Amino acid sequence: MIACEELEFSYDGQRQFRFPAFSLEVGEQLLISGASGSGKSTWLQLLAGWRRPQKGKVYLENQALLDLPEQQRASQVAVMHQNMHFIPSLNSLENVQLSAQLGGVTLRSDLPDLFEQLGLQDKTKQSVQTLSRGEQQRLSFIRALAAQPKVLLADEPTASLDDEHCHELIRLMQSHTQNSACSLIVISHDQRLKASIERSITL
Amino acid sequence: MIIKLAWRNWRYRWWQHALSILLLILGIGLLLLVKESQRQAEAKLERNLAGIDLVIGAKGSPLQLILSAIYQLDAPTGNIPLKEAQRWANHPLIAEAVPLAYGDAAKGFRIVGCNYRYPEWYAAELAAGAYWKNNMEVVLGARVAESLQLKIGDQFDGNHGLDQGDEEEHGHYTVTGILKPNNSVIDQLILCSVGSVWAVHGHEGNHEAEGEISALLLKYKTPRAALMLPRTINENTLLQAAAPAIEINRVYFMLEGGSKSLSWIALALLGLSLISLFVQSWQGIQNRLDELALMRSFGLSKLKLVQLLAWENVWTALIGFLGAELMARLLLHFGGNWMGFGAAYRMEAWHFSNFDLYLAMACIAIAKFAVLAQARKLYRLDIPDLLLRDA
Repeated sequence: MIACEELEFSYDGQRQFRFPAFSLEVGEQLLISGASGSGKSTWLQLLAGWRRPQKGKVYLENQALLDLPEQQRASQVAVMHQNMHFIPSLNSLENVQLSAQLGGVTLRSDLPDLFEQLGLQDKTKQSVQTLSRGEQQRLSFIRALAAQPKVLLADEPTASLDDEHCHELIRLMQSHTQNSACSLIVISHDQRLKASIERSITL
Repeated sequence: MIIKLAWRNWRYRWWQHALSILLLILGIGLLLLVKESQRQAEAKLERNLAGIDLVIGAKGSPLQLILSAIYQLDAPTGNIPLKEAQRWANHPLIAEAVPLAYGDAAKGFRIVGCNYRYPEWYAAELAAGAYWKNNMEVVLGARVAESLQLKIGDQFDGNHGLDQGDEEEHGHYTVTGILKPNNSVIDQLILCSVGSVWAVHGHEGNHEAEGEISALLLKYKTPRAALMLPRTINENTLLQAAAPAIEINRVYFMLEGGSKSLSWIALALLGLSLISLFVQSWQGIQNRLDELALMRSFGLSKLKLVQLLAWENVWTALIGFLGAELMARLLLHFGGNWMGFGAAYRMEAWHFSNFDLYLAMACIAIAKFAVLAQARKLYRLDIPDLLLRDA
């Protein structure tokens, strides 16, 4: 479970961002939407524990997120980046394995099933750079779930996807996070997602 | 895991490290080559002295006399009458003497007429057979036997002159003994009696008094001899006396000049490789900030991130070092003649010393230092800025 107090944050004391409080139980989903510049990415950074808010705290299972050791924080709050960054020297499977290894956690045992369910079973040994954007997006999702996180933060996951693939990806994310006892927070300005995700906060 | 990941990253971008590796190979390789050849040359020079205090030969260059009589590297300065040489061999200040007569060779290996004391001075031992009893019987040094594939009882022809190229047949020899490897000049000599050399050169007939030898090797009975004999011989006779210790110091001095210059070039190349490592390290980090931030976001600590990049540089240093070792060793193996030691002297190409170990450690230290200099930048990586900047 993730809970967030009212947060305040500003970059160098200039523009002040205020974010509302919320809490999310295991398996629940939340859509954070808003126009460009509304602070969606800043909120993501606070929720991931990458930046320290000037006011308020984020709690993960009743523990202040920033009090957790860096490695534990990284493995329990996974981030699916809009710009899908990978380690180019490693193949698809190794990229997934690395995230769990660096997070110091055991790799989930049903990883081969996950690859299969997301249609990447034949791509495990392939270089990430040879994958299509859609395949990279799915691989990024598998990587995010590999370390069995408690929260998955997805940053604009449906950007550049057509309607069919957009709904397909959200459906996959919802079903897999629920099965993995993981809360899902989607940060997006994509209006199509409002119909798919029950809870939403608009900035 | 860090080391393996560093290797994968290194392999993926090997070409970015190519310049550093090349400079390391040249710098370290040259340094190794200079030090190892100098060490071996000095060791060989020392070993082959075998306690010889004085060499008497014909007038000429004293260095040439030493190089030809002790190291078998040069042509003799001429011949001297045995009778005259014996006068000095029997001098009360002389403990032991060995007459040497040479002028012929077999496939590049010199045939040296001497007495039985000569191999004893080098602590040579027979591996098979026995020493010569008659003229035209020979004992082979270990390397001669190996190279010419000769065994006891085999016969072979000598060539006139000390060079390999002279095809004129000169003497028919029989092998009676083969020496064990001795790591001295003895290994590449064919030993026989002085009479054998005279026989080949047409002096047979027991006319020792009329015979000539190429040089006389002497050991002093007392250090006082060093003060008296060389001067007396050089000033009062037609012979030349040369002290190996003095001439070898001259050789060291000549070698030192060349090796110092080469060492400076090697150090300059090493300096360049160090700069290259720094530049490549800085560029590598600059071009991979996203990737490094990603690993940090997965939980890789700042310290481990620095270790990862340090290991990538260590791979560069190790590969450069191994390349340098290989280059230096191959040059030592194949370039012995070029280094000026003649066909008869072979360099030990695969001999490793503590110097190699220190050099490897220095390379690793430099490689790590090149990354440590970037540690501040790595510690201050702004993960969200790098991962979300295009969002």
